[in-house]
Amino acid sequence: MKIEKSLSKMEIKHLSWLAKIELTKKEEDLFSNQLNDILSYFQKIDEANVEDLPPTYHVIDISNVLRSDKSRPPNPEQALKNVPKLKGRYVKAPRIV
Amino acid sequence: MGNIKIGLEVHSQLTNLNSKLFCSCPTDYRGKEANSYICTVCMGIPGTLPVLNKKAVEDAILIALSLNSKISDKMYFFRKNYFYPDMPKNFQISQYDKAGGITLATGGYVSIPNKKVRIRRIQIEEDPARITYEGTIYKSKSSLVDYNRAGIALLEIVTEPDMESPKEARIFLQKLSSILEHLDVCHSYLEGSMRCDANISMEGGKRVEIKNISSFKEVERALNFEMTRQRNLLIKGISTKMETRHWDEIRRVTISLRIKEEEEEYRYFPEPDLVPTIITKEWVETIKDKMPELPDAHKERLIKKYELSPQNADVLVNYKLLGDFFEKCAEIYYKPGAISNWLVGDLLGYLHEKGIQLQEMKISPVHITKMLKMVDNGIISGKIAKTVLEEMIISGKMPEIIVKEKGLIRIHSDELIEQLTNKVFEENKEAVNDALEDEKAMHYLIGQVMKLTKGRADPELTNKVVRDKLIEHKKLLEKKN
Repeated sequence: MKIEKSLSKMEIKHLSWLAKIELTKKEEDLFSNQLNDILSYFQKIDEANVEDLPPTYHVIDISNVLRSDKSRPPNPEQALKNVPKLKGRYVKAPRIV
Repeated sequence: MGNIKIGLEVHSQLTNLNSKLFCSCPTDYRGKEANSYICTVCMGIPGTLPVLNKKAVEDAILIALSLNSKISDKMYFFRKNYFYPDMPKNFQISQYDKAGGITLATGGYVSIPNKKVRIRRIQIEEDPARITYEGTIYKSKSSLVDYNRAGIALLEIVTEPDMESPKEARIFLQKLSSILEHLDVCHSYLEGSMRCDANISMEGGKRVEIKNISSFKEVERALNFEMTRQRNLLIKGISTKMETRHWDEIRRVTISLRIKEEEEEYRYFPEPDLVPTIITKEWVETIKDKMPELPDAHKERLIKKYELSPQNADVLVNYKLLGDFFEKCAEIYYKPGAISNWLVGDLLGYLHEKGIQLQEMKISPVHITKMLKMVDNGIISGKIAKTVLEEMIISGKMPEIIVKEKGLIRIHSDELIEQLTNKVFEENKEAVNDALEDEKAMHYLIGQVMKLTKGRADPELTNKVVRDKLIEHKKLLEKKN
């Protein structure tokens, strides 16, 4: 049995608020169709019976990858290479409150 | 007044680490140039991978043990997604106790007078960047971000809403901070190393969260403000709504600022770049073996070993640095009672008055013990010692040097004191006559002599000289009559 889930216009608007992206009316329609397609594709997963299976948190079966607490010189030049806007040494970003 | 319930979410940096939580950037970023302590990992550049700092896990386990919490046998990291420039990746690597997530530890408690404040959970996460605004937060068009702090290991300690007054919240935080100080894992005197969000709800109202509280003093202030605000609303018949408010330290008010994401909107999911961490019993045991003396045991020992008053012991435990300082002093000169009184009273009082941090003061235990010996040997008076102490704190000079430079040595010269006493008797004839009848007036005369020597006259000697002089005066009067 397939349960139809679909995103409402309100949910699309809410998502755009969460993502801080303004959408035009046209885009709202476009993305609502696209996201609904994706959702219905993923609904196939619901058909699988996973009742007795333990959850998977990581696809690789390894644990405890740890490093010792040693510091190395930082590399700000490389880290700042892709920053779109700097003001002095600061990264300039839009005000979000 | 309705019932008040306060819960706290304390964020404490693991300040004793050399490197960040998931990369090797150094941690002593305070006072450094903005964005100089960063690398491609803590800046979230695609293609880089975080690797967990082992010592961070061990320090966190030590803290959880000290708070009587149950350590999980394994833990996962989750991504907390949100769009805010304090995390360059657009998510924070944190932990989650839902959706199958397991945090480092759960349960536990902190004992404060008359109650145990229960701990709900403890989790490890990365500290976000520091944001400043051009002008004020309300008017600024853009934010300026310094990522030096981003990725510093942070422990989140969440309590149950067990505190019933703002004062109790402060007492809890003091105790927690003292425990962390004793563990030598978080030094709360470092600016911004311990921060706190508070939840407060009053009977008949919804829960309000207050963010952006930078110190313990501020917690009490913010909660007091919020309590009054909510009470006033309730009186008017308006119920408080569930919201997040921002504490404005300068204006001392809470402001409804950001419409915050609901929990489900953080879209938590397991961090695929990090593997699970299994915490074996053996690992926990080796960490437990390193458990140092904690505040309650420390206090008891100070009272037993040095016969200190519980009040003084409390202060020395709350200010662990001062407690250590005290024991070093007592080792050099075994006068624990006097030392503790000086440290807890005059020294701490002066530091608070001048806004000097304990670790900034320029004196060593030798300064204090030398000063005390000078008092005990009658070289300076207690009153003068206070001046000497203050000067030592500021300049770091040894007491004998200060005494010499400022001419503070106690006057033992009979001749000088007699001269001054004569002068005082000349100038206070009425008081002299009163003093023949009234002890109080005599003390006034003694006070005048002390004043002339700026407190340097030996009090016993002065007392004797003034008394003798009065007897002499009396005899003279009797002869006349």
